[in-house]
Amino acid sequence: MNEPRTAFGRRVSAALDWRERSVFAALALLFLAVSAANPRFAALSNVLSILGDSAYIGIAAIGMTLCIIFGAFDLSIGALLALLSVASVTWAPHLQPVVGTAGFVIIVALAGAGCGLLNGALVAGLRIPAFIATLGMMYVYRGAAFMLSGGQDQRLDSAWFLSLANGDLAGVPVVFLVFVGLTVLGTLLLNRHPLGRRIQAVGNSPKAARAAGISVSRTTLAVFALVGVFTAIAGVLQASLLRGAQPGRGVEFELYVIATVVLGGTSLDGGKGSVINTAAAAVLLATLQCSFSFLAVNPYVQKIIVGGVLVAAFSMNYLRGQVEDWRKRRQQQRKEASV
Amino acid sequence: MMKTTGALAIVALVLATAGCGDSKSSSQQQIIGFSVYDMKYEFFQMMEKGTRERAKELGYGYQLHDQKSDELQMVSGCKSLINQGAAALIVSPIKPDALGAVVDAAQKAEIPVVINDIGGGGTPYHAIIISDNFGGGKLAGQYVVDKLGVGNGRNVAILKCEPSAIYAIRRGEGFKALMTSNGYTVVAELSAHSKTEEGYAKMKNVLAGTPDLVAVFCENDPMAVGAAQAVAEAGKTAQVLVIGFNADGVAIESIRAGTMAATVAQFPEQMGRISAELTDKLLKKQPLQFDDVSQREIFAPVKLITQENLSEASK
Amino acid sequence: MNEARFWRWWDRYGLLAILGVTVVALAAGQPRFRSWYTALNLLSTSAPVAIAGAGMTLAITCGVFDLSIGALLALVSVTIGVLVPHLGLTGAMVAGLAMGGAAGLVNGLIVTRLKIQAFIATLGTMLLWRGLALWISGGKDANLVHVPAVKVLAHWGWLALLVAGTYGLSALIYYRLPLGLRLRAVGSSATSAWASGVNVNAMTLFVFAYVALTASVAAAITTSQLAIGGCNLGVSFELEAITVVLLGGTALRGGLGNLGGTLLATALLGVMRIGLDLANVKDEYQRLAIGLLLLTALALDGVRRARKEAA
Repeated sequence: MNEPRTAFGRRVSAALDWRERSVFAALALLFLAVSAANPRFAALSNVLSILGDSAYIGIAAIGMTLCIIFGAFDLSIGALLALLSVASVTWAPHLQPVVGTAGFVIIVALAGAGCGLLNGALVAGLRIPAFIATLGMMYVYRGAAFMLSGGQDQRLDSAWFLSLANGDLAGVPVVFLVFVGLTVLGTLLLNRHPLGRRIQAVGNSPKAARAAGISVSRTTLAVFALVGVFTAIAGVLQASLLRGAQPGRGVEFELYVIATVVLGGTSLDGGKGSVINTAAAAVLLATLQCSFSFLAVNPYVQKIIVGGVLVAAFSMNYLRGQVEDWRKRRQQQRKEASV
Repeated sequence: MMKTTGALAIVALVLATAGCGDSKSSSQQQIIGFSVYDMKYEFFQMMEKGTRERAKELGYGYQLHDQKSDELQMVSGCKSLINQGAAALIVSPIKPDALGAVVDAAQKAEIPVVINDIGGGGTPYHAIIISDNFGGGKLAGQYVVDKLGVGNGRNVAILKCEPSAIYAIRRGEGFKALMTSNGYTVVAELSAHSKTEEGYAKMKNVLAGTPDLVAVFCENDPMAVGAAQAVAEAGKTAQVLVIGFNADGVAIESIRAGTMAATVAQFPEQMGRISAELTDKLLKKQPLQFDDVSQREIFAPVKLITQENLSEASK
Repeated sequence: MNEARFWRWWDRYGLLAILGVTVVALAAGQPRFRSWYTALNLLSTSAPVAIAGAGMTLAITCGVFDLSIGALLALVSVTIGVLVPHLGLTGAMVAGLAMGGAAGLVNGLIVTRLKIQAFIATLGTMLLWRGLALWISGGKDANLVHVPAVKVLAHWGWLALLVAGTYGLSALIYYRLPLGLRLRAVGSSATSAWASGVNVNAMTLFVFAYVALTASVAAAITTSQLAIGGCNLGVSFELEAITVVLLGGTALRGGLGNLGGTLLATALLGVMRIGLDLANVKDEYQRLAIGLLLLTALALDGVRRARKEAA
C-alpha cells in the first residue's frame, strides 16, 4: 500500500479508514442489497425521502454524541422534545410576528439550552449521576408538557411554520441540509474548538482533566446545554413536519438516539467518537426502516430484525478485535514461514 | 491508495444506483398501499386483514406499512409507500392532525387517499370511513341504563386510554354524557394508558374508593379485561357491570365466561374491506356514495355486544 | 440535633419517614384509604415491581442495567399462555420461568462474549423479546379465564410469600453469601475484582439470569392476576423497576446496594398512586407528582453526597 504523499492526502486517507467508517460501508451495502431486491428503492425521490427522514433523529443524535463522548447519558431528551415542541407551538403565533421565523427558532433553541443547563446543574452542582438526574427530569418534562398543553394535542398550520420542515432546495429536503450543516458544526466543535477538546478530555478521564486545569462543572453545563439545543431544533422540525405538537410524543426517543450514536461506533466508555459516523448511522437506521416497507417484512419480525441488527452492530468492537487477532496470527505465520 | 480507491468505488456504485429506479409503477398490476396505526392491536390486525383480502380479491397488489404508534413513522412510511409506486393510499392514522404532509405528497403523486377511522385532520382526503366513537360510548351507557334503570346518583367509573389516543377518549365522553343525563354519578375518571395491567390496578383503587360502584366503562378491551379481573377478585362481578370497547377476541372470551358484561364492536375487518372498495372505485374514477357529503364521510356501524349476541361480534 | 447526626439519621430512616408521612397524610385525608382492601391492593399492584426491583437492585449493584425486562414480561406471559393447554398450569409457569432465565443468560452472553455494555445490549434484546412475543402470539392476548386455577398467584398469600421469598433470597445472596461480596466487588470495579480472582464473566451471567428470573416471577404473577397471556404487557416496566431501585438509594456507581430501600420505594410509589387515584387526580398531574418526588429524593441524595465529599 502506498502512503499518501501530501498532508491533505494523509488526512483523507485517515478519514476513509474503513475501520472507523464501517457505518458508511454498512449503509452502502444495505442500500445496494435492498435496491437489488426491489429496484424502486433506488429511486431518487425515495433516496431523498430517506435522507429527509434521517434528520429528525439524526439532529438530536449529534447532541447526544457529544454527551456520550463526555461520558454521560441524557435520558430526558424524549420528554424534553415533547415539552419544547409543545412550547414552540404555543408560543409561535405570539413570537413569530415579533421576531421573525429565524428569531423564533433561536428562541426555542435557547429554551432547549436552558433546560439542558438545568440538567447540567443537577449533575454538576448536586453531583447526581447523569443517568439518574435525567431519568428524574424525564418525568418532570413529560408532566410539564402535559400541563402546558392541557393534555391536548395542538395544531399549527401557519405557512411559515410548515416551511421549516417541508421545503426543499433543488429537490433535496431542507431538513437534510440543516442536518448536514449541523453535523459539520458538530464535527468542527468536537475536533477544532477548545470546548470539544475539553469534552474529550473529561470523557477520557475526569481526574486527569481536572489536573490539567479543566473545569469539569462548566464543561458539564456546556455539554447538557448543547444537548438541549440540538433536541430543541429536532423538536421544532418534527412539530413542523407533523403540523403540531403532541405532549405524549417521543417516548423511548432517547433510547433510539443513543442506539444511533452507538451504531455509529462511538464508544460508551467516552473520550472519543465521531459526529459524522453518528450522522451516517442515523441515515442507516432510516434506510433500514424504509427497506422493511419495500421488502414487505412482517411487522412483528421487523422488531426482531432491528433488535438483531443493533446487537450485531454493537458487537462491532468484539468482531473487529477478532478480525485483528486473526490478521496478526496470519502475519505471525507468514513471518515464521519465511524464516 | 487502496483504501481511497475502494471507498471511491463504493461511492460511485451507490451514486450510480441512486436515481436509477423508477418510482412510477410500470407493471400492469396496481398496488394499494395501506399504512396502519399499530399492528400490535387486534383492532388494526382485523382492519388490515379486511383491507388486504378485499384488495387482492379486486385484483390489486398490496403493500402494508406499520406505523407502530409513531407519528414520524406515519409520515415517512406513507411517503415510502408512495415512492414504491402505490397507485392509491389508505391510511389509518396515529395522528390525524399530522396527515398534512402525507396528503400533500399523495396529491403531488396524483394518487387518491382514503382514511380509515381515527380522523382525517381536516385534510383534503378523498374519502374517510369513520366510526362513531362518541356514539359507541353512548351505546355502552345506554346498556347500563337498560340494565339498571335510572341513576339515582349511583356511582360509575371510566378508565381512559393513553391520552394521545384522542379518538378513543371520545368513547369515554359519550359514556359520561349519557350517564350524567340519566342521573348517574361519574365518580372516577382515571387513565389506565390503554394497558391491561393498569386497568387491573386502577380498578382496584376505584373499588377501594367506591365500594358501591355499579358499572365501569373502559375505553378499550385490554383495560376492560384487566378491570374485570380486579372486580372478580373483589367478588363483585354480580354488582359491577364491566364494559369494554373493540370486541377483541380476549374480551369476547371474558364476556362468554361472565367476567365482562359487554363491549362495543366496531367491525374493523368490514371497515378494511370497505376502504379497499372505495379505493377501487376512486381508481376507476367511479362516483362514491357518502353518508356525509360535506366531510366525505362514510359511516361504519358500531354495535353493542353482550352475552346474548356474541355471535354478532364477528367482523 | 446537629447536621451530621441528621444526615446519618436520614441515611437510615429517610425513605421510611417519607413513606410514613405519606401514609398518615392519606389516611387522614382519604377515609377510604384506611381499609384492609387498600392494604391488599398495595400488595397486589406493587408485587410485580417489588420482585423485579429486587433483581434489578442486585443488577445495578453490579453496574448492570437491564432494559429488557419489560419486554421479557410480555414474552414470558405469552409463553405461559401458549403452553397452558399443553403442559397444564404448573408446567406452563415453570416453562415460562425457564424461558425467562434463558433470556437472561442470552443477555449475559451478549454482554460478556460480544463485549457490549449492558445498557445498550439490553436495548437491542428489548426489541428482540417484543418482536418474539408479538410473533409467537400473533399479536393477540390469550384469555385464560376458562382456567380458574390460573388465578392462584393473585391471592395475597402467594404474593406475600413471593415478595418475602424474593427479598429473603436476594438479601441472603447479597449479604451472607460470598457470592454477594463478589457481586459488590464487581460493581465497584470490574478490574480490581478480576485482579483479586473474581470470575467477572460468571458474575455477570449470574446477575443477568437473576434479574431475568425475578422479572419472570413478576410475569407469572401478572399473568395470574390478569388471567391472560398478554403480548403487550410490561411497557415501561423496566423504567418502573429502575426508578424504585434509584429511589431506594442505590448509589449508581455500583459497589453499594439497598434492598430494603427498593422495597420501601416500591411501597412509597404504590401508596402515592393509590392516593392520587382515590383523589381522582388527572393523569398529567400524577406524572408530575411522581417526577417531583423522584427529583426531590435525588436532590437530597445529591446534597448528602456533596457534603460527604466536601467533608
